[in-house]
Amino acid sequence: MIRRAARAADSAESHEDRFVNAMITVSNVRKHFKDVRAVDGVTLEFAKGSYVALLGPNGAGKTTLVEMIEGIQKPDSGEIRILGRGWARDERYLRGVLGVALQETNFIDKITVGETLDLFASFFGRGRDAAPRILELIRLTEKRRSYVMNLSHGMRQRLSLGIALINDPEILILDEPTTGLDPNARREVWDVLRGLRSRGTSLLLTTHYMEEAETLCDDIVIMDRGRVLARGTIDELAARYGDEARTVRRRRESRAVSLDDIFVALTGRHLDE
Amino acid sequence: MNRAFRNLVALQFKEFFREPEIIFWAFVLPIVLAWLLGVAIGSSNGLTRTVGAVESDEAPREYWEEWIANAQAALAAAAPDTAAAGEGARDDAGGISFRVLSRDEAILALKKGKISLFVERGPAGEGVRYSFDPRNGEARMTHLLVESALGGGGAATGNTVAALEVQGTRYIDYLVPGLLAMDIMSSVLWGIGWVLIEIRIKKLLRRMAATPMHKSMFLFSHFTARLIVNAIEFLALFLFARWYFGVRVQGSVPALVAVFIAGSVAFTGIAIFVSSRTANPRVGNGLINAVTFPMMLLSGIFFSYNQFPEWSIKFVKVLPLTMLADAMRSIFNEGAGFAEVGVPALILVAVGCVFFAAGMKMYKWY
Repeated sequence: MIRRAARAADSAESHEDRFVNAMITVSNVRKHFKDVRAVDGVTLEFAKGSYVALLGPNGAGKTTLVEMIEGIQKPDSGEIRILGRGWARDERYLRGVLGVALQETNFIDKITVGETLDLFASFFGRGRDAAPRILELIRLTEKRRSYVMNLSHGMRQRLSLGIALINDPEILILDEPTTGLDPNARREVWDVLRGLRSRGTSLLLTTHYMEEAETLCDDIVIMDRGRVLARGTIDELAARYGDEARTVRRRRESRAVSLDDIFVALTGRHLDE
Repeated sequence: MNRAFRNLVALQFKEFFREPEIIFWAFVLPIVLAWLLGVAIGSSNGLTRTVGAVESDEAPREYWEEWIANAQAALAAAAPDTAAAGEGARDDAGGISFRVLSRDEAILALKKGKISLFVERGPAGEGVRYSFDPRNGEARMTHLLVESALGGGGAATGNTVAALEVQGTRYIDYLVPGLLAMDIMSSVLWGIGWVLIEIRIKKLLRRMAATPMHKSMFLFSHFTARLIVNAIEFLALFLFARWYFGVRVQGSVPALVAVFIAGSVAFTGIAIFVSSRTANPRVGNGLINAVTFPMMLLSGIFFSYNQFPEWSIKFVKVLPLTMLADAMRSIFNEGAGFAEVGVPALILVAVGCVFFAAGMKMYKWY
């Protein structure tokens, strides 16, 4: 029953006011691989300047959805528009306004951090001053002459984030930017992302860390099996699914309803399953 | 020049020169190979060997026809498989065939690897004179087979041997242009094809493609960087061969440059085609080997494809590496220019364009 209610919430009726000035609109998008429905009729709209988390376990369809938004994969059906434009006609424009960090990218081992950033800066027509500025932002200035192969996992993730930021994007799309990082390294990434809010950057990130979604984002979309189950702020989700979540909480003998409780109530499983 | 393009070209060099193993394979190995094969050549390959018989006033065609008939009968008698088959003397008795040629034709055939030695009528009172490069084991073996079949030893037959040192007729003159052509093929297929596959495996290709980077510029940067590396490799091997073996370019140097570029274009197109889909290192490795190995074996790099069965030669001749090696050999050894190598060079460019277009059509960027 909860899932049916959640699917009805897919249309996100409580967010209409926010989406007048849409950053991204996703209309009834579907994508399947052989007999797997990776994304199954998703409709979403995100306002400019918002920080949105796509939350879901592995296989929920988060990466497929964001890669379609990034223009890396094509939907089987449905429409995606970014700042009112589509990939078919405005690919170069959209590549210029988006900053993306893919779930997995291995950079060239024996190219330095500074050279890697400068290479990507040149793809966006940015000058030589771009790389040092970003190095400072991601706190890798001291490593600018280090080969990528000598960086820790956390530093590589920050480099990946730096590349996503090299063009001062209007919209930043990050696919699991802190997966595999220790808590300190994760907080360093969060600090960078928090700092971007004041610049008016919009953020769409996928994660399976509840804390990450709670800490960074004001708009949370819960996905599972290719569908959107629920959407809203933490307070809205708590108000809407509080009763079910409290049942979960009681089972877990914890004191307050958390996003984790809401997720378990909606999907029947934990994020790390 | 566009800064992104410059950066992409520089990227190839940085990656190249920061891997000492690559420098070994690119520069040292071809030189070692040239030295080994140039100095220590000489093993039979069991294929048909051809001997040229030079007709002259003293030795007209009729003379050689009789001589050849005798030689073939002797070779057939000496070759048990032919004798057992009851075929008697035949055109390639004992794996050796003969062709009556003028002296100029014989020299040209030697340069092209169509014959490995030729025989001339010696001075009055002597038998015939065999002319070949004494460092060419293939020619030495052919000489020994013919002589032993005819009655054993120069003293008995009165036949003599003349060392042939004419520029372009030595085995090293044949070998070096082939090695240079093979180097272009290997360097481009591994340096572009494999590198692109590796970038896709690392998922860096899709990351780059998710920027406003021009995809054609990206591929062109690989071609440019590889062309420069190839030119350095080419010069290194050529200068070594010139210094150590006295190999010379007898034809047009601009035509050689054009053929070098045409060969690089052809193999770049093939490299992009080969690398267009796979993200699996084993598949990529297998694909590149599947393209390079047959050409290395068939295209007459180490020994002439004219020794192959007649029916196979027309297929071998249309292989890009054969066209490149033949064009370079004719410039090095036969004094060829644009008139002689223009058509093969254009065909090589066309081959590159066709493969490039096909590769781009199905290229997997993401």
